[in-house]
Formats: sequence, C-alpha cells, structure tokens
Amino acid sequence: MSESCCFSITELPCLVDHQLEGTPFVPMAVLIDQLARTLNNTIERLTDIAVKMPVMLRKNRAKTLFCHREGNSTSLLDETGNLYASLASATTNHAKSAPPPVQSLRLPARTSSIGRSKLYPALMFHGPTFQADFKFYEFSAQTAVVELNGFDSDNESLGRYRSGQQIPIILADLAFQVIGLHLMAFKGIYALPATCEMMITHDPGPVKTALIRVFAQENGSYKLVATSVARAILLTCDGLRFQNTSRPVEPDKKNLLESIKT
Amino acid sequence: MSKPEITREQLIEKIVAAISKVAKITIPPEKYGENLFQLGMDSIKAIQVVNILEDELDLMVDDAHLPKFTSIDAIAEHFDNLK
Repeated sequence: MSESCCFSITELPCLVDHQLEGTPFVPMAVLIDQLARTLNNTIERLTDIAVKMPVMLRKNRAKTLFCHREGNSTSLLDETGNLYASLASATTNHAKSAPPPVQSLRLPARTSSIGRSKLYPALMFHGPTFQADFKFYEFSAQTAVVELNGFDSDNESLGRYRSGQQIPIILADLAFQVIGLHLMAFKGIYALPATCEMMITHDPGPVKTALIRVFAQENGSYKLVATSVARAILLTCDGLRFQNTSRPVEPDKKNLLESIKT
Repeated sequence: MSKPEITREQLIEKIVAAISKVAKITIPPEKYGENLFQLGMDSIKAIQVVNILEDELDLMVDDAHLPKFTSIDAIAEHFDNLK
C-alpha cells in the first residue's frame, strides 16, 4: 500500500519555524508521526525508527514523498525510490522500555533557567512553534533533567498534523532539542536526530509544560523520558542516536552551554 | 534536467564562486578533488551552495544527489553527466 504525502509551507506553516540557514527541514517528529499514521490509528510502540536523508524544502519548494506500507513496517520514499525514513510498529510487551518508577523521578535542586529569547534562534534554529523556556535541573555528561515551559502542543501551525497525532510532535521535538543541546555542550558538535530503537507514546494529550530526562548511554545512544509536571509518563525513547553535522559549535554558544553545566 | 550549456572550466568557476560567497573560503585548483567538509564547508552551507548553482545554471538538483557533492570535482562531475 502506498500513499502520497506533500510537505509544503502552505499546508504546514510550522515548517517555517524549523529551518537551518533559510532551508525548512521537516522535523523528525513529524516524519515519525506521518509514518505511524500510515500504519495504524492506535500505534503506541514504534521501533527501528530511522531517518536516512533529511526531508527539506529547499527554496521553500513543496516536496512530495510516498509512504509505503508493508506489513508492520512503513517507509517514506521519493518517486525514484530513494529512502528518506522508515519505522515499524510492535505489539509485544513494553518490558524493554519500561519507564523508571515515578518515585525515582525526584528533581535535583534547580541550577539555571534559560528563556527562549536566549536559546533561540541562535542556538537551536527553531522558530515559535518549537520553542520553550528551559529550566535546567541537571546538565551533566551523563544526565540532563530539563523542565520545558510555555510551549503549545496543540498548535494550528501543525496543519494536518494538529489532530490525530500518533506521537506528541512538539513535545518530541523539544525533547530532541534537549539531546541536541547536550551533544553541543559535551561533544562540541551540532547533531540531528537520526535513529531510535524504540519510541512509546504513553499519553499523546496536549501539554504546555513537561520534564525531560535524558540519559547518555555508554554506546553513544540516549534514553529519554518525558513526563508531565505531575510525573505522569508521556513519552519514552530508547536507543536514540543523533547524526553529527560537520558544523562546529561556535565559541559564543560554547560559553552559554558552559554556564548551564552541572 | 539537462546539462548546463557551459564549459567545465566555467562550471567550476561558478562552483568556486558559490562556495566563496557562502563559506567565505577560497579553494585553490589543487584542492578541487579534496573533501569540502575538511576545507571548511558544512552540510548546511553545502545546501546553500547548491541553491546558488541552481539559480545560476537554471536547473533543479534533486535532494537525493546532495550526499554525492563532497568535492568541487564531484559537483562538476554531476552536472557534466547530465544529458
């Protein structure tokens, strides 16, 4: 089964808010949601997520791709068969990605807050749709605990992705930003989310505040847990890996990142 | 998409000029075969270079070809191979 899927600024105004040096990039969270929609309306556990090639709208040109479903797997391809992204759904138990018990999610003493006016767009290249204020409770080489405030997960700029989300798109994008910041701070590189072994949406409902915990693993991947402020689990990811870009982090941004390390 | 009606030398001149404009680096002829990312380019700047070349050459480059554009020679080769 195959269906076409058009990404354009007209249909998806949020893409204007997700660009690098003037080129809109379709967020990985949107690609995941699009692929998950192809599979089912009630998928909560996604596996083997991979973005092989960024979907970008060079010169703001609309881009049409094709979602091809085969069994429990789905791929996003162009008309000549080049693979952009793929994932699969799984229906077995959640044991591998069992979220940490709620009582273990105590907050460390808060260390620093950085409002969106300082973070964006110089640091993150994200516009209003994908912005939040960051409160850093912990930001060490192994762990980041960040409270995100003031974002609108039910945003009309998401166009057709506003309703029926299979994953919480804006929350997922913001959680990826936390890992992006972590890589900038501790590896000195810009990187983009590329693969994820497993993603589970526990609660897709709209939120305006969330706590993001990311754990750097020894194998270079990340584990991610997003909760509400009341500690309800919203989203978890295992085996999340980022692809390095060739752009180094500029010295002025390094200084800002140094100031939030714990 | 058809081959641009310019010589390879003119094509390379345009590529070098686009890189210079975007990345503020000048690449000498002996480095035309070297990896652009080791010469100071990055993936975002590379997209901007291709955007400029599209305008200058009045053609469109499919995104799927971008990963091949690792050196000035590789970019020129791509346009040279167009029918």
